[in-house]
Amino acid sequence: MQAELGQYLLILAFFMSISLAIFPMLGTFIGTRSLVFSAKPLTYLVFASLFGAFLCLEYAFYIDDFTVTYVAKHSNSMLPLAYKLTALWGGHEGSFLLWVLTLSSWMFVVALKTQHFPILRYTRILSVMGFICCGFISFLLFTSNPFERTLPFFPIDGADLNPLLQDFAMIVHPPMLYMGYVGFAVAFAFAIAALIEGRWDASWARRTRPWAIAAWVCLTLGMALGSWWAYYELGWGGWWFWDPSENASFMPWLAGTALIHSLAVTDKRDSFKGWTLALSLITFSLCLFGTFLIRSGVITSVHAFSNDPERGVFILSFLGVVVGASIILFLTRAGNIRKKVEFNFFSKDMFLLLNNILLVSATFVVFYGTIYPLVAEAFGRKLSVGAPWFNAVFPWPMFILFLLLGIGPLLNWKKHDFSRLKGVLIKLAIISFAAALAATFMLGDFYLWVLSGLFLSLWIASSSFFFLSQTTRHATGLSAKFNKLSRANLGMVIAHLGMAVTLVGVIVSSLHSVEKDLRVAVGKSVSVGGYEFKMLKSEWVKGENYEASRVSFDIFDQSGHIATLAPEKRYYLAGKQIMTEASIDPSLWRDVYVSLGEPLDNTRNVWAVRIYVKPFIRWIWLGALFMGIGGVIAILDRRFAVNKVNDLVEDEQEKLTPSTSQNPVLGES
Amino acid sequence: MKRLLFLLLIAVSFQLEANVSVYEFESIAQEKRFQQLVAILRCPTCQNQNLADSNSIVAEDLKQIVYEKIKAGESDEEILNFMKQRYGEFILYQPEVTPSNAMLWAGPFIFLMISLIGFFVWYFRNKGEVTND
Amino acid sequence: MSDSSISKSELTPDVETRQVDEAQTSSPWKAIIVVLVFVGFLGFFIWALNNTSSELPSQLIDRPVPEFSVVDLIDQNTVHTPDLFKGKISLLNVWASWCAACYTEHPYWNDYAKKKDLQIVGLNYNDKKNKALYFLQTQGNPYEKILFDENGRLGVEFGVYGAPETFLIGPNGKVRYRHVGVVSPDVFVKKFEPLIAKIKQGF
Repeated sequence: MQAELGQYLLILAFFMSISLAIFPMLGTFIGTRSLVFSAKPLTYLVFASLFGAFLCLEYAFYIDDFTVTYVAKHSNSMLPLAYKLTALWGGHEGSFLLWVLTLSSWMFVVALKTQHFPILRYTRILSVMGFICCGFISFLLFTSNPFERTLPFFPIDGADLNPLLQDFAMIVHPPMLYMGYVGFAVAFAFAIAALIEGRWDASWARRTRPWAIAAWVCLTLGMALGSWWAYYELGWGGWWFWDPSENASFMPWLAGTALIHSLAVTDKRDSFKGWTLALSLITFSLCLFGTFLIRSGVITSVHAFSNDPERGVFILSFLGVVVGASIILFLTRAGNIRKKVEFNFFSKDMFLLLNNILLVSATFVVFYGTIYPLVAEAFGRKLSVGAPWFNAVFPWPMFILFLLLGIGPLLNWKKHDFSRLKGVLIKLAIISFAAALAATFMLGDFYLWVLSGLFLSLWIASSSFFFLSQTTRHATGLSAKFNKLSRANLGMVIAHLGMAVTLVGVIVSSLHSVEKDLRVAVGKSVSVGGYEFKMLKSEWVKGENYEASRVSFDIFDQSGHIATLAPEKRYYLAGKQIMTEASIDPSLWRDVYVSLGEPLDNTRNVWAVRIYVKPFIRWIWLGALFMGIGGVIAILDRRFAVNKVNDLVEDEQEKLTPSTSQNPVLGES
Repeated sequence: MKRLLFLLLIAVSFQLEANVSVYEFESIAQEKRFQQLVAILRCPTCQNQNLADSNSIVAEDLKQIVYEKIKAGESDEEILNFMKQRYGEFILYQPEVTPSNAMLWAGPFIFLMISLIGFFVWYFRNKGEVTND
Repeated sequence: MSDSSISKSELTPDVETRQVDEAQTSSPWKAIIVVLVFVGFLGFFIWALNNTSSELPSQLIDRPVPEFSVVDLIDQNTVHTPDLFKGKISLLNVWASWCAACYTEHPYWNDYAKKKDLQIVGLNYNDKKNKALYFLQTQGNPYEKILFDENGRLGVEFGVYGAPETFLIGPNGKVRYRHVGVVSPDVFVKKFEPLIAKIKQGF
């Protein structure tokens, strides 16, 4: 019964969203109040029906309703309850329902929090998002219905959720990632509405900023969660594989980073409008493109959900319509902006423009490497472009960017007397280089990559601290200094520091990790990376839906015993799948990581064991956390507060414009 | 669809994660060579993993071959060539630096150069007076 | 929302005013190029959806079978070399007892074995002898000869990356075609028969 209810709610959502896409937008052109004002309730209805559909599917998982095909494929009666509920997004259809629900949640929040916008702008934004929502609901209904029944036959039990997904990170990573991925639809809708209206000025940019930053924060955290999860779950100690599905979210992240910076310029300087508009459109287009890549099967990926060309055609057509319309709108409305350049080479404007160019180049690198094999196949060659290529090419635009990152925030808008800054910068460069050199040698073998990476991180960090001291130099005392710093600036500094922290983590862990595959027996010890590992015992344990071999190790360093780790080899009963559960001793400075291979004898007392010592690897995700925090603080800046007087005055002026409309439908003025 | 079925059926016989095989090396340098080679060779079956991370039957065989060849004194180039002759350039995660791959390696750099040069040309051509305001 | 009516200035889209010296006549070329590139991009992906696959092309097409010297599965005293392919049109089927799809495929091979013009050779890949023999006992043995590739090295020489796979080998000892997956009658008719006919005609 609940699956049918879910189905009906989905159909209801489809009709609501198609109405939302058409009628309010129409109303804004012909001036019909009732149509225009229908946008908000329609948005709420779309959200409510999708949420209801989501709950229906969750209920089916909760009660183990294996007559629903999707539940039968991804759940099992022995699955712990928490994973039964998260299994909803363990496969293509359900995860797409989550995708659409997330989109409607953003629409709901936008409808709630932008009611002070000029009414036509508000309406068009909701309408555009309604159109996108409608497209995706149709995709669900026509090609990927999660509510299909297996009746008249049904399995006694389900196929079980892939054990890799039976994990805490599964609960948080997809929702967070989708919130970011889908969140860029908001900035997209804002841009489309602006293009339709013909106004894309500083106030448009200022209104867009908090939404764009919010989506960016979610995407940053979502990707960090995914990376962290892959690291501890998959047993290979890797945290990024340049897999097409990872690239699918990395491309919008890079473009989104350019977007939030470009929005800041348009907000403050009323310039870069072409860039900002284009980036708003491009970022979400990349999100759509990524969805296409993963769900159409055109590229093989460990993360590929679905291999159905029919689905691929559907997404591609939708992408064609949305992106095509945005391109045409952009070219016809904004394609001719020309502005005289009014800033010096040494100015914040220039550096932010270079920032845009470099980030777009970086996005291009990822895009190029991802689709090149596909293009090559069209020409008869089957080649692979993998991590080695990306790792060789990608750092270049990024390193140039990091160099500029140390200088840009310190410059004034428009023009800056560089001669005074030059001295400071040289000192900062020397300090950073010296410290980096020392650190490089302390770490062990010398690597030029490590030296460069450490130099750039210290360069960014020292420049950020210098920025802080300069901005607050007229205040005395810590609290006074904090008050002098706007939240936007504080957020910026924290986010940039986060980037530096992540860079350190990436470079050092990539080059200084130690990995060994060893044969170890109970009672014996091995030595890896300065630590001693003693195998204590091997026992058989039972979990909720699995049984496992658990092997315990005592870890020692020079100071003595530091940890006991117990990796497992799990045998899941329902799907008869085998999984390795690694055991990690985490710390800020290094992870010690042990995972089991195969038992090498019948008593299970001798094992092939993989041991890693990975220095600084936590810094990767710590930095991402900083970036997220920085973004959140920036959103809270008073500049974006809703009830600011300026906003009100601006809107009142719009409303007070004498109405000479003869249109009887509008009513009396 | 058949292809998918085939892949699924193969997958069922495998574990979900890295299998650990223990190889004895004569020196750390040798071990590092092995780890590097095995990381840039692509698993033909589990196509989005390198040999290091894959536990498919083919990956195990190929890793054993790499190990034996290293011990026999073959160079990296010889080993990679061996793999390429049998499985095609698909098996090389690191595309070769040859004229046929020129567009691949040069593409991003060309893009970056064109954007930067184009930008600077535009900048200096359109630069007006920078007034103090 | 307040009750104010919608003002005319809001209704009529008003293109952002620009200073006179900034306006330029539009260049249609830029727009046309962008649109064309985008359309080409879309078209490419539509093509890619149906024309790309994860299957690896064999490196042996139109090349001689690699050198090998391998014991027969059933008769330990017989050693096979590429000579066994000379003068006959052969189908080399890669199979193993651990391969689930091979159980599906095997009945077809029992049928193909009835064809008098083809030599059916098996390559037992990465398998244990007793398990392989049990497989043949229970599923039938369509093979005239079986190459016993216990450690998979012969498979590597052929570029095998899974089971089942089937190679079509001409009388000159050259590989003509490699099929990945089950050779159902449909596949046999569509993919193998035309080539076999060509070989018989001398091509």
